[in-house]
Amino acid sequence: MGLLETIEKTEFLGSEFLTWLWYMSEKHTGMFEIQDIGSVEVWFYDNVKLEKGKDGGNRESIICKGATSDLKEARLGLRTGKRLKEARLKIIIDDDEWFLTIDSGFLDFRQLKTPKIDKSDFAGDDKDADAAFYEKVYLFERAVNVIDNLFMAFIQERLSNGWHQTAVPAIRQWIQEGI
Amino acid sequence: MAINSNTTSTRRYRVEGQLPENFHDEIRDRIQKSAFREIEATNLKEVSIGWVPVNNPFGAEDIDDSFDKDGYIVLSMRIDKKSIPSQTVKAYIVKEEQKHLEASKKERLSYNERKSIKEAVMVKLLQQALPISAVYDFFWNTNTGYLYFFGTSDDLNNKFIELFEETFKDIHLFKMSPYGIAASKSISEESILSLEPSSFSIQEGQED
Repeated sequence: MGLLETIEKTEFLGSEFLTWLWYMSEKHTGMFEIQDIGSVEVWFYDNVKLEKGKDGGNRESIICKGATSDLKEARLGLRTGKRLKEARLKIIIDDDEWFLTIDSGFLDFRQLKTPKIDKSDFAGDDKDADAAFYEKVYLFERAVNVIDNLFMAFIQERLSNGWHQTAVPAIRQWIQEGI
Repeated sequence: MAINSNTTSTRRYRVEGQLPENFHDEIRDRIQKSAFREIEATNLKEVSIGWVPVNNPFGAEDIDDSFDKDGYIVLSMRIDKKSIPSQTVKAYIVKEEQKHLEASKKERLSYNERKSIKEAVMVKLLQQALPISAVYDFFWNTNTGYLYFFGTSDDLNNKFIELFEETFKDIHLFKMSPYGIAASKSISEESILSLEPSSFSIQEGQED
């Protein structure tokens, strides 16, 4: 099987990851323990996009906006077979906050907002410009690291027997309860 | 540069392949060879794509070492495109065809005449058109092997992959995706491919 075909065949894992992440976030009040980072909060924030159908077919999509607890319409969508296409997340580590939208297809980061850096610390010469670059890259890659770790936690569970026996029924129940 | 913007959108790749021995000099030479070239006014080429230094879209001719930031390669892809709205092209063709009809006192033009009029109109309009420029940054962490391109449309990413692989020859870009992330963390292709979608739908039944 070619690489493109493999990517396409496994694309559904992106939306399953987002669904799992939403469930886990609500179940653990946003708290996750991540190796090399420690305690991290991850929240579904503000809006999600759901889809049903494929390119070239009858594709339905809905965008739901609102605070986490109010995303009832989105859960109703999950209940009726729609899949998460995009989700806006808020990540908190210590006093720092990141906001980003993840697309389930390639797990692209969209509209990533890293914690603010104090630009007055980097307002001088080229060395300062480089320092500002390294600071921004560090913050950027920290968000990538969080999402990679969460995705791998999902994949480990997805490949285990517990996925079908425990995780899927629990997620279904959570979807049902939230409507 | 894009990373300093308030919000950024990126697609991630893993860089694969054998990096050249004399990495810095080799990379610089290759970047310079594929540096951006302006479309000259007399040139009928509609698109030009190449590398420019970040923060300096007009600096293609003197790409220095600023692309190498201690473990990161940072560069921009510049695309210039001459674009003429189809309505404008149509209007000029009609005008030229009428001129030819009047001059030749014919009732209609042949296929070849219409074709050459169309070509002449395109040449004239392209020579007059100013290109529209766009610049897209990327940074490549040479320690982790991950590269982040600041553009998420498929078309743009395909152009980027093409330019990157043309420039760096033996180095390839592996698109990150759910499969790509799992594969980069040593999960076998076989186990990932064995998975089938799960249904969370209550109405669709309980196939899990």
